[in-house]
Amino acid sequence: MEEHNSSKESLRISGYFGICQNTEASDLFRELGMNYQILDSSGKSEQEFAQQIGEYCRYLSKKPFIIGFPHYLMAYSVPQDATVIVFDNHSDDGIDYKPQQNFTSGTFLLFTPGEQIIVLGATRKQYGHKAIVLPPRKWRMFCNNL
Amino acid sequence: MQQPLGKKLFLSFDLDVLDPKYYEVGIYTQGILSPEHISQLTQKLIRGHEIVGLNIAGYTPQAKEVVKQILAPLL
Repeated sequence: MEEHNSSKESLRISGYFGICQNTEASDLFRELGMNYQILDSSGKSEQEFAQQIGEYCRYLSKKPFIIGFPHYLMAYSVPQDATVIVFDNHSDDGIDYKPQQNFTSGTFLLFTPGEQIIVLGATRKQYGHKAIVLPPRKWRMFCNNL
Repeated sequence: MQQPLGKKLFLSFDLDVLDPKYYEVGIYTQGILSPEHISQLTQKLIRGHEIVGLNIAGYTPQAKEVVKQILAPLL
């Protein structure tokens, strides 16, 4: 793994460090003036890769800004004491996509630490006490009550 | 139903919440939001909170400018 250093430094984004799976997000990171790291998933299961991302995030002295991974791979990257807010049009994204695995995009909420997870824009699947799932019509009400 | 948010927030954006006229993710059905709408919601969500991490899903280089718009309140 090689860390990529941006040629310019943006003060506004200086609290974050980029993590991506391939070079597709490199341009964005560079334009934001961020250093970034490309992680390689080859030879790993999705769960192992998610754990690798999480281990890397814990070593960072900056906040992780992760691009190009399915969002359920964030399960191990979230600090224990954080609330997770997910903007997603499908709360049940791919829940039966790989039924032979116990780690799917639909179950990432169950692996994610934290007291509360809020999925904005979700349409079908509920996740018990771990998550509050809000259909689009309730988004505005939710935000107005903050 | 609504509980107060914790002090620390981790934000994850799947770009499929966008109306496809702003960005087409591909095989998935998409939402109805504009980048400006997401940005406004985010601005309200983060007020008084510490952002501890960000995630963007469904990204391709074609989404670069849209992502910058969405992230505007965070940058």
